Amino acid sequence: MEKILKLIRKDSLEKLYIRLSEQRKIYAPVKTPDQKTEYRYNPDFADVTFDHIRSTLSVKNIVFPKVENLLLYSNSKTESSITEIDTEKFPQLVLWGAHPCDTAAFETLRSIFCWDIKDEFFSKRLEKLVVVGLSCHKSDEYCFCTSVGLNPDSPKGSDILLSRLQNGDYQADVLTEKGKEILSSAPELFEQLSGEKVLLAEVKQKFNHEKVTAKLASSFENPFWIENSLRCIGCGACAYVCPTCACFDIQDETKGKNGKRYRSWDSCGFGLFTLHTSGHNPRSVQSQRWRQRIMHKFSYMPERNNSLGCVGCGRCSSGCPVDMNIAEQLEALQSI
Amino acid sequence: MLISEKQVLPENIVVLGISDDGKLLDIDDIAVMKGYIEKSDLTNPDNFKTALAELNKLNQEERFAYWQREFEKCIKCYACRQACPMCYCIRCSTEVNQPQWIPVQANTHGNMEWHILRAMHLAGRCISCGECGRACPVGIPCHLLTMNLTDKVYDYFKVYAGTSENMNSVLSTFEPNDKESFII
Repeated sequence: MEKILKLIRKDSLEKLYIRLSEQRKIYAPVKTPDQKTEYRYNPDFADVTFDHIRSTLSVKNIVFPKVENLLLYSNSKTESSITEIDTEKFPQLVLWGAHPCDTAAFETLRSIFCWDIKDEFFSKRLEKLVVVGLSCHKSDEYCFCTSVGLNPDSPKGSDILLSRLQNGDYQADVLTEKGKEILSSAPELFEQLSGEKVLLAEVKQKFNHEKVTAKLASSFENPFWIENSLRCIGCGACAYVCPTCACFDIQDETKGKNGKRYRSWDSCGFGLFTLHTSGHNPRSVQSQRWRQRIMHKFSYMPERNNSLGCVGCGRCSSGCPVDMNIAEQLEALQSI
Repeated sequence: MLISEKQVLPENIVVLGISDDGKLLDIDDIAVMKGYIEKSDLTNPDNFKTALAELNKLNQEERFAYWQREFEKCIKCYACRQACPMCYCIRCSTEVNQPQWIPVQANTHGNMEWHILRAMHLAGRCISCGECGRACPVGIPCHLLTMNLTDKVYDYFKVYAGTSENMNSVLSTFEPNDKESFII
């Protein structure tokens, strides 16, 4: 559909927030006492932040929870029974105030979870989700959305995108049918645009992702991977804070006669990730795991999923305990 | 500590030391290193002491609630383990699934089991560097757990980690004169 441009006055935002939270569970960013940002369910509007640059964790949890039951089972001496999870019962949700990198990540995740077989759990959660995105008026040295084909006001993944205007009001880009439903449920809150300028962050382009993808095709054996991952300690922080990393592990956990099968986040940074039962490990050293992470996002995904596996949020770099900076590395890679 | 645990041979070590005031230390061999350690303050660093004192003001229930809140944030990325100079197991017990000692999932219960297990494995071995807490991407102050145990181990056994190349970890050795007052 063609987007509809509207104005939401500063004072009307709270009304919109309350209106939405009456209909759905709302997931919104709040500042923590240690000045970090985290998303919480149903926070008071007064606690919701509009000034965050990035939350510690991405918002992927909302469509791909860190732990999710896939089925329940029980065993007796004579029979076993399985209880399926009723995905229709997943809650109707609103994601409020997520930045364009995070909302674009839903499309990336979709290209993974619905690549061949449509993942029922992910699809249902996404179907029941309405996204009110928020353009960035601030950025920091870790941001690089402009290097991966996005920018501080990319509409991708948002149903409505809010952008701050100079006078503190907000421009609302109504982008999808879901967005239009919100508009028609609260028409009095959406006014005509006043011509005020939108405040947007400047994010410097650090590399050209097409050049990176082209370079990677011939870089598998490059010593670059060893040199640039010597300090990697092999934790899973980069994958777990990443909005597009989608690998998971499936486990059965039984207690007495009853049990559950669940999936939980996993990371290609762990040595155990590719360890075979035979004892052989095709990625036996950390440099091979770091290479896999970059290759997957910037080479295999463009080739197989027709999408880039990175949205430039910068979390993997800001969260890395040993300060490995992905944008710096790709910038270097592109010119070797 | 790593020498006493037979992880490195003293003759294979070259130490490039930096003193608290930023000077390069001339440490030729293990005897010089030992002399330096003997002169050093091995109690927890001051900033951590303050945080520990604050935490220890809470009663047991409040402390439990505090840690439950903190562990809820844990995503089981194991940055704490990877950053720790004393964690060197070839196969961590979190990576063993027969039996499954702790759940794979990052839920509050499983997270608490992991952090308690980690703390107990480091009791009396933690050298109070604070790296685990610094490495944590979600900001769990997990270093306070092991540092508190450093204090506890000193109270009971009057020993700090890494003070002798022949020492044994207090919780994995038995001495006839060990106090038993804390064993219920």
